[in-house]
Amino acid sequence: MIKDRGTIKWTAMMLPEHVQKIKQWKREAYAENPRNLSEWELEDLQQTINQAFKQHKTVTITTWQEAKYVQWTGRITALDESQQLVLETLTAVIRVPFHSIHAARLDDESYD
Amino acid sequence: MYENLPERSIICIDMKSFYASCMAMLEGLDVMTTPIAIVANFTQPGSVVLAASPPMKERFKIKTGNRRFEIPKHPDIKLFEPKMSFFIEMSMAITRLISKYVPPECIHIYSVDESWVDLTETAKLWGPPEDTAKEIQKAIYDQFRIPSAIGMGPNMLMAKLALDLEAKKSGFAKWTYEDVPTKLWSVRPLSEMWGIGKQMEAKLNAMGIVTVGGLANADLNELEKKFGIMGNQLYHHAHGIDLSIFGEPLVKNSALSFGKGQMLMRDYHTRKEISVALLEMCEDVMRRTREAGYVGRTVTLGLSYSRSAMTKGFQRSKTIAVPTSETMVMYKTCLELLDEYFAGEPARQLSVRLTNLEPEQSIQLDLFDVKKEQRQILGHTMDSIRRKFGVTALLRAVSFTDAGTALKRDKLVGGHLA
Repeated sequence: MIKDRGTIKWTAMMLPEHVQKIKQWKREAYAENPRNLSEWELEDLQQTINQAFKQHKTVTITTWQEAKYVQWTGRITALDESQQLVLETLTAVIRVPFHSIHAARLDDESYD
Repeated sequence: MYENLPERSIICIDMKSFYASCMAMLEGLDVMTTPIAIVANFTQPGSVVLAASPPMKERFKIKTGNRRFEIPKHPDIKLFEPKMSFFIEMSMAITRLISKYVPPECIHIYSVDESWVDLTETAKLWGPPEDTAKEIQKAIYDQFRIPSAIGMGPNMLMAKLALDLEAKKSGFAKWTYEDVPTKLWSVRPLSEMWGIGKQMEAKLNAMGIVTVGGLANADLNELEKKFGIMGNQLYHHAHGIDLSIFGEPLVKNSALSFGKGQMLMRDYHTRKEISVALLEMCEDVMRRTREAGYVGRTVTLGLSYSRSAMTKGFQRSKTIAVPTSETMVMYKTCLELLDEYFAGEPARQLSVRLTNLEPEQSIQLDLFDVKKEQRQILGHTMDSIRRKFGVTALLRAVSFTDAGTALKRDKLVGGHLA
């Protein structure tokens, strides 16, 4: 009877840095592209962002980064001309390129 | 015997003198004609040779594992220190190139310079797998100037054996089950074969088995009785039989653990010196444990003595009552193990490991340990400072003593220059 230990025997000597790169590559390889937004969705997005910016409201922005969706919550402090907005979260200030934004939601309206 | 066994077209591809080839590409040298050696560290004469180009091996008899002082002084010889990050980048670039031919699940990465590729299903797309294999080999050479060797077989083991035992000399070799008696069984010493180490070889020799053929014709029951499941595996490997399928060795973490080992740059003689290195290692292991959101109960300490010592070293573990992710708790346990088993000989290699892990869900408070919560938060705070400003932004004072290694090791990838 063959008692094969299967893939365990090939467990390799891998550098952690290498493993990390491989995982990232696999994530990218299997990632689907983000869904294209329709015209009215884009309009809605723009409206929400404008409102959040002008009324200093807390907003949650969903962005498409490195093959996955990432959410950020904070206040928009600037909309600059280089196609970015500046978002101040509780702990950090980040710059979000417009093209990576996928959805935006005003936080205090989230339960309507 | 070979009915119903895998009949796939699997290749095992190995980059020839990978580190040396990468350096050659970077420096515009030809790895096949220039004697090149990669030496772990220029400043130490005892530093080890990590890779050598073919002419280095042939003309100067220097191969991987030699020492820097053994390399003759010769104007033709080009010596380099490793660039680990670059080597890993190159390895990934090659993997991406291979994935132009097959989907990622058909690539099984074994190390920086070795992978298996399953070409069974690509026959419809790219034609005969042998041609595809050679095409991949050529593409890697054309694009990166990195020569490679390919072994091909009906399963992962046969591909590996074809590579190790024939293709490393000829560049390409395809083995079938029919080749086993002619090509595999004559192999001796036994440790030439994948999966058999020096110790196993000695044990088998003692049983009167000296060739792979001898192993294949040995009594399976006897092998099993002596070596357990490994005996069964040995027997079937000797017949070229391997049922393993392309798996996901990276994600599987059935026995999740966090650990760290290091070869010390010099002999550490005293408990005090060893404990400095241990504290640094515990800190690193626990930082990773905390970042992953785990706590653990079993601490393992390994220590090997320098070659001049009389004894071999030890590896012992201890399980503590309350699971922890606190550096100092692990450190204390390590010291207890050290005090119990340390023979006082010069130490050269250390390893620490935390196993028996569980997700960190809540802090178990202790009526008599009022500072526990603060310490827990302190650990995470230190980690976030390190995440933001680098691992060495915040160090324990011992790291600045002579025995400390954290500062030097920060610049390394996989123990070598980044």
